[in-house]
Order: sequence, then C-alpha cells, then structure tokens
Amino acid sequence: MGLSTEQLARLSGLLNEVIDADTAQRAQWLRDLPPEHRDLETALRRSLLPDDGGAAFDVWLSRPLQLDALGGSGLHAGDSVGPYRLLRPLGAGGMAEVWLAQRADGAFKREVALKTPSRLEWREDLAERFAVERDILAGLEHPHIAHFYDAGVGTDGRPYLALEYVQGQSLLQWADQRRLGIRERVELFLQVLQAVQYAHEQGVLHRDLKPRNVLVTDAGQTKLLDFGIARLIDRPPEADLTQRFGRALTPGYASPEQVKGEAIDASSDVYSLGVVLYELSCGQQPQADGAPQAPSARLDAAAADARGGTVAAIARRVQGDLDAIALKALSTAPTDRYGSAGAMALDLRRHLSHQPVQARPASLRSASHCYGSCTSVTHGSPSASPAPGWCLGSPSSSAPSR
Amino acid sequence: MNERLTVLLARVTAGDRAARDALFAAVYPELKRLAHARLYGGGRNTVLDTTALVHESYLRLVHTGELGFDDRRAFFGYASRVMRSVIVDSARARLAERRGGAAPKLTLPDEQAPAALQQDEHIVQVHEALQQLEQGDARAAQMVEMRYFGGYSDKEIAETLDVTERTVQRDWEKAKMLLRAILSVDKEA
Repeated sequence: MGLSTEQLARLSGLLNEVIDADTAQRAQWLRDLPPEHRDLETALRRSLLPDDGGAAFDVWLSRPLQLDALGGSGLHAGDSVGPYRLLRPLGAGGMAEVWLAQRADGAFKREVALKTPSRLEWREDLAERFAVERDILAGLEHPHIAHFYDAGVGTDGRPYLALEYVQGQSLLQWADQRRLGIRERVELFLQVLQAVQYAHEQGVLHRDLKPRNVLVTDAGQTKLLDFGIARLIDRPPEADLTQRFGRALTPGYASPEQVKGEAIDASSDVYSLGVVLYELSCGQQPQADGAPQAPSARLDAAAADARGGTVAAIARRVQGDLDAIALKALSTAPTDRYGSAGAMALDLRRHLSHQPVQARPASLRSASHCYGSCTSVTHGSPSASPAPGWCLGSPSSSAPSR
Repeated sequence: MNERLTVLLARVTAGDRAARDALFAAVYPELKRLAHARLYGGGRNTVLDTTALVHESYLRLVHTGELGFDDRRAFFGYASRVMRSVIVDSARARLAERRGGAAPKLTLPDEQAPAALQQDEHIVQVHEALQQLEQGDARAAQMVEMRYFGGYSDKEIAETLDVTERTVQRDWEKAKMLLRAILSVDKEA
C-alpha cells in the first residue's frame, strides 16, 4: 500500500517548504507538522532525513545503465593498445575512452592522452585513412592547440589516437571558478580564435568546437583539443545512410549545415565558436529552436555573479557589441557569419579597444546605451561580411565530409 | 523529404494525444535499433550512453529529413520518454528470460549474471516508482526520466525545459526525495 496520488501531490507541495532548509530546521519543521498532514509524517521523514543523508540512494540512482554483464570497455591499466601501455583512465566521453598512456617500447618517455573508441564499429579502411590524416594533423603546431602525436590501429583492430596530455580545466569551468569578468573571458576566447584561425589556414577544420574541447592550464593558456579528429572518425561516404552518420559532432554546438550532413567549411567552425562565445557571455547555450535571443537577455543571477557583477551590470556589458558579434557568428546562413575565425577575432579586438565593430551597422552603434531590445535589431540585418582573404587549401581536410 | 516528425512534434506540443502515440511509434524503433547496434554491434563496451543515443537519433532524423534542425529541444524533451520504454522493455525481457526460460541452463558460466539481474530489477523498480510519481508530481517525474533514463546533464535538461540549471538541480533534489518516499514505502508494504 503505497502513497495515493493525492498524498503524493500533497507531499510534493510540502517538500517545497523545506527543500532549502538544513537538517535541524527540517527536524523542527517535521515536529511542527499540522495535524492534517500527519499521515505523511513517515514519508516526509524518509524524504527529508534519510539515515545516511541520502548517499546510498544517490549512488543507487546514479549507477550508469549497463545493459549486459561484462562491464566497461574491457580495457584495464597495464593493457597495451598499439605501441602504448595504458597507465590510468582519464575519462570517457560519448564515443571514446581516454587513457593516460606511455610508449611501451620506450621510444619516447612522454605521457600521452590515448583516445580509443568505446563502441563505434570501426572499418577496414581505417588504418589507411588514419595514415593520411595523421600527417596533416601532426603538422599542426600551435601554442594553443594540443599536439596530435600519432594515430594507428592495434593488432587487435582497436584504433587509437595519441594526443598531448594537457592538465587543465574546461573553458567555462575555468572562467566561472575564477569569476572572470567579460573582458577577461573575451581575451581567453581570443586565444581560441587564434588557434582555430591557424588551423584553418593549414586547411584543417575542427568540426567539434565546444567548451569541453578547450582546456585552460593553470597558467591561463588555452589548449584546443581534438582538432580535426571529428573528421577522422566520421563514417565513410560509401556506407549506407544509417551507417554513414558518425556522431562526431555535438548537437547544440554543431552548425545547421553540419547537423544536416551538408558540405561544411570554415564558417561551420565559426558557428560553433559563436555558441562558445554566447555561453561565455551568459552561461547558457542559444535556445535550440528559432532565432537565438541576445545573450545579454539570458543572464540569470548565478551567471552574472560568476562574471563578477549583477544581472543589470553584466547585461549592460554584453549588450550591443558582444550580443551582435555572437549573433552574427550564429547566423543560420553561413554567408551571414564571419568569414573566418580571424575576422571574428578582429571584431572582438575592435570591441575591446572601443572601436566600432563590423557586426553592428553604423546606424545602430550610436544607440549603444539602449537596453535590451535594441540588440535584437542587429540580428539578421545585412552586415558586411569581411571577405575571407584565404581559402581552405588542403583537399584532404577541407573537402566536405560526404 | 517530408518533415513528418516535425509535424508530429508540433501536434504533440499542442496537446494532441493521437500525435503522441504516432510519434512514439515512430521514434521507438529508431532508438531501440540504435541501442541494440551499440550494445551488440560494438561488442566490448556495455555502458549504455543513452544521451549519445538520443543525440545520434536526432542527428540521423535531421539527416534523413524527418526532423528539422530547430526541433532539437522538442525532440530531446520527448526522446527520454521513449528511451525509458526501450530500456524498461529490454530489462523486463531479460528478467523474464532469466526467471523463466533460463531455468534449465543451470550451468550458465556467467559469474557476473547476478549483477546484471540486479541492474534489471533496479531499472524496473525506478520505472514503477516513476509511474506513481507521474500522478502526483509530473514535473519531478520528468526530471527523473531525463536524468536516469535519458542520461541528460543538468545543462541539457535546463535547455530542453527552458529553465535555469539551478532550477534543474532543485527539482532533481526534490524528485529524489519523492522517489525515496515512494520506494521505501513500497519496501515496507
């Protein structure tokens, strides 16, 4: 005989009264429970004052769903993958596990982050494909890009990528924990743009830009992870449609054309950068449906506090230029976005040095003190897109993925 | 390419019950197929990354033209419900198999089977508690559905429901409290 629907609804309402209270206050509140709710006393006690503080239940509820009994990817510390020996797990993402690893043959002493898929079905042509891409990616050398060392397929058919092991925090965490103001956030973001612009000039698209792929070291240096890797693990065009679709992109950050599986170029990365800037500005991603609101309109108290000010103060700081720059990068039509990461960086630098930005037509700039709604006017207005002074040259990495 | 699911999603959002059933019927096999491909096709990995499955099905449906790019929020809001059915149905099927048909196979060498059994029972237990909770507090129930069965992060839930992450965390705390009350009452009854 469980709780009736009526009792559950009442229980839910009562919990609202004490959810923010501490243990002592909860106990007192229970003692003062009005007679008409006495029938819920036991249930309330179990909800509010679990014997172990709720720890066991939390664990019970947070156990990952494992649908068969083998558990894990089957890899353990000490196992070999290709020429590497696994030292300890660093984490697991949607499609891959990352291990701290070292060359087993002693060829290099350095520790690497070894990435190996958790469950993608890998293909026969993978080794060949890896060999081609490996050279391009290994050629990327930039202070803000985590180095790509090696890619291969082990004797058991398990593919691996060996990347620079970066100790750092993800971009948003780093910024929030230090309560970085908007200017400092923009400056940090400029490092990311520099790295992306460099890679684009080498003909490599990132394809999966998101805050989690940007680590910041203790010294405040950003390191962009997984450059071009999304392409490496995309499925081949010749496979049938259901097979073809790799998950090497992240909804929420991927551009509309990328999600649709259309040809993409540098402006697709620019879109993802727009999402990152948006999130850096207001702590939220653009809404998933319809034209995005200006980031300055989406601040809440917690986000403003993490940026070192009140909602009103941070909104004033973001509205105008930064709203316009983020929304321009987020344009649905690729040609409405910045032509390159460099062009976006240029506009942000103009903003930092109080010069007019390209994202806002001249007629609106004088209205820089208007509040809230004026920013939406700039979105979607035809603004002069900076002409890309370069094009993606390498046929291997700039060609559309299908 | 018709945006069939887009139309259904819009009708579901507008409260159309028939559309809800049709949408379920359309999305269920998709998620089930993906879950099985991941679980049995990949071979070695067995952690069910449900969010990744939802992401993948969304991407695939946009790709085939059945969903629009802008349908992400509505689809995510709905997909955790379908994911729950996929998971609960397969957990029940395995439980039935082990309890019934598996009886003669006493020599089953799978030493880890008890852990799997426990997991399946756990899934069914949460599901049943959730059915009760849906009657008393639908919002809390949805929170559990998205977190536990959908595997969504706070951020994804916040975005899907268009609330702040703080609200999500608070709702999740409350949902856990309610669930705790339901499950412990059940145990004693």
